[in-house]
Amino acid sequence: MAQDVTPTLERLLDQFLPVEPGSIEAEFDRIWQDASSGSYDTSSVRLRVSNFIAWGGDAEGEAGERFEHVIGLLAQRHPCRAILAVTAADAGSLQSAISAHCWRTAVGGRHICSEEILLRGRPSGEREMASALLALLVPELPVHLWLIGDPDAKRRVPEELLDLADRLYVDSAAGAASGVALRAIAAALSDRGPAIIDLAWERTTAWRELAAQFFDGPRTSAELQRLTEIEIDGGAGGVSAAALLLAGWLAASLELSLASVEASNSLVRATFYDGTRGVQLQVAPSAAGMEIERVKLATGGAEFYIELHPASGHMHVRSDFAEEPVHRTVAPEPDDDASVLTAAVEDTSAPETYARALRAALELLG
Amino acid sequence: MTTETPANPLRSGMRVQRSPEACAVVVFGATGDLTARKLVPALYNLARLRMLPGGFSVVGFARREWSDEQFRAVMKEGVEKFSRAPLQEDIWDSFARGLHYVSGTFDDAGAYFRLGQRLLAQDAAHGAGGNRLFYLATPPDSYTTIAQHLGAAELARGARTGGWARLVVEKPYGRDLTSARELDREIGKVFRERQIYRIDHYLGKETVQNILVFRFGNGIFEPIWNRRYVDNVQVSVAETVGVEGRGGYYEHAGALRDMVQNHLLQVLALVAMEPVASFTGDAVRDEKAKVFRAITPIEDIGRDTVRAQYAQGAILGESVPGYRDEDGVDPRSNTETFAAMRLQIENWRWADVPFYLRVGKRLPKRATEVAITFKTPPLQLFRQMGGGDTPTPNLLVLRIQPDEGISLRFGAKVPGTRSDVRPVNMDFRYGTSFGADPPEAYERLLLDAIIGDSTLFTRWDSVEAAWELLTPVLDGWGNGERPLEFYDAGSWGPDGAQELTEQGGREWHRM
Repeated sequence: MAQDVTPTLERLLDQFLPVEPGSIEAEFDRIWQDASSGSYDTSSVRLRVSNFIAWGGDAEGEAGERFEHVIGLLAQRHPCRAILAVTAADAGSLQSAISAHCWRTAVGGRHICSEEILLRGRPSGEREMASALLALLVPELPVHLWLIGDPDAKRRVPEELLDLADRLYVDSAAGAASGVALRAIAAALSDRGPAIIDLAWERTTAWRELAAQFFDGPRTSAELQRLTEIEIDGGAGGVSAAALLLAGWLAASLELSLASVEASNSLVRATFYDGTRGVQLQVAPSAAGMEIERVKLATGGAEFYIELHPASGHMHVRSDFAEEPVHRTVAPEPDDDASVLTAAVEDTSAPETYARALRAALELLG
Repeated sequence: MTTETPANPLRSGMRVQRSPEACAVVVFGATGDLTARKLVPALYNLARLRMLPGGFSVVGFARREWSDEQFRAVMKEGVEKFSRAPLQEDIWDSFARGLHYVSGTFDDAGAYFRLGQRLLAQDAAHGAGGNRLFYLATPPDSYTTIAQHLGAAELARGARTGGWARLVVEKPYGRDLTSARELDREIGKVFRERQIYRIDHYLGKETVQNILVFRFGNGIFEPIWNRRYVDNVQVSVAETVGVEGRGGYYEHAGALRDMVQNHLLQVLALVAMEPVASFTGDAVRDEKAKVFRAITPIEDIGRDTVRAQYAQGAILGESVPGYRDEDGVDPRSNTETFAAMRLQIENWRWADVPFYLRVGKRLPKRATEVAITFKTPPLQLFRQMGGGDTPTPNLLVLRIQPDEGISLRFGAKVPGTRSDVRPVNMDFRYGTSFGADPPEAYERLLLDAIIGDSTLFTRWDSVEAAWELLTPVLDGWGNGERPLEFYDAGSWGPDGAQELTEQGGREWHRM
């Protein structure tokens, strides 16, 4: 994250409250009044520019703390009312706790706080939770819904909540198998509903940018028409969703027609035909178990590589194209949950590009 | 010249539609402060963030006898010290492989020949394709010499094998209308207007660019952004610093040339210009030029301008010397460290609305702001808290630095049984609502110059119009039409500045 100050999470009350929106709002008002009158910090500012719902499933305990930390970092960039909704086997009636994520701005050192409500309910009580959650949203602010874990939103999220969300964030890498997760997202995309942003797709951003950069120049642009080979290494054990999406994006962008494919969990081999030439594609797991480790594009006359170095975490970009050889090291996009989520919130790229890449990736899976 | 490149299908749907072409950036004055403090850190950050192409390189050109290795070492120190992100060794190593150095004086034809040879070698090694961006980080009196030698060495048209050449020129662009025209004529013999990028780093600031977003990206402000609702507009740049060891330079510049001719007038143009159909190079610059053409020449320099110099005083609790006691300053100097003026823009939107500009050194606080004061309601229905009949006007302040943001002042009812009104402020702060560090102005401007986007650079017609407006002021000041005033360091300027606004029944916005 850009901010160099880790936010502090202040649990504002020690006990869980019954979920009664009026009481929660009154409690927040009382606390913020205290804060502005000096009980906490005389320069505290309460700020919300959106509603951010983290629909966590059974992400309690350590996992829950991790997501609270992510929300705290996200709030520095997009101050929000965050609502973390989780289920627990031992939960009785729906309960809530309120917290503040506070940090100091880099310039001016102002003490900024955004607010969080933790909702805790029983595993089969998603509809009750959704109904309570709807009453806790700040009016007139956009609603972002982050589905933690399995990206099958239709199965996991009550419809009334999906209807209300402006954007839905899922992670196709979080499903049990890449194919299942990607199919679930494709099904959701075909429905009317919120705009869907796949965090695995966000994590391919730097790879896509660097691949495109190879072919921006007048000399290299023609080389793209002579592409013969694509190799992508990504995934631990099996092929990762991000690697499949990257392969799908290349195929869709270059309008390659699929001629044949052999796909298993651990290897995808395909042949495309584009008029007179064939393009061989191979997607295999990463030796280092990384989501994407390496991309190789080969033409008749040159090879183009993008590699993520496991030790430094930096990307090495090189090509032996005679007229414009490349050999450089650059920083990747940060891939921690908070940074990826922040980038996703700010993503204004065309959603059709993702939809086309997803369709092409599913074609590869047969 | 740029050649038409077929659309890259991999860019379809991406936010960034094109990365810059491979090129070499040649920095004249490479051993100077600007290169190590601003330019190379900006280029390093662009490289780190994957915004520069693979075949990118930098050639430093200066008099000192440095090797490539010495140049790299000094630039590394600069990045370590001044970069907004910490230096990362492997990324630096990759970036530094493209840093080279050519030693020579600006009037040595042989040095330009060596530079040309070096660039050809780099084209071969890095694939720069004959594209060159020449950056003049030198004293202005070298501009013409460098341009002429670049022309003579056939470097001003890109390489013979193709490619483009662009020239980035730092301010000041001339000392007055005559010298600016002379400079433009000389540079124009070698470079065409579309190759010249006159940089004003103020225009690279996020908050300056946000003036246009604020005005044209929202629906509620533009309808009231005119003479019917606006009473006056003030553009103020206050600095707490003095001349900071640059007395020699400042003696020849003064506040009018150093700040008003470029930064303040550019900001004024963004506030006053008409909407554009698209945010592209000439569309924005055309509208800005129309504003400059509509500014009425200042006829009464004694009445409508103020010039002053700071005397000894105190800033932030510390005693500071007067300007005439600064190093490198003539003890009898008449150079102004404070300038203010009233301008009129005679067009349909702004007729009769005064635009006040002020800039000064050794003022109580550092701030750059645009303050737009609106007209008061036609009827006084409510009592003002604290007495008085005149309602406090609505005030919109665009804070450019520091603590960037926007605030709006309006009246609100004081709780109680009476209908008393008290002004309150609604405040938006960038640092609060957006946690991200904005890029340095030089990052944005260098990237734009490399890509060939001139939107945020100043075109000659604007420069010429600014000098046409201000040269008579300089002449009038020279003739004693407005005597130099003095103000204590740490004050808000001379009495004359207050009188300037009081003539119209107004006052300066308190910063």
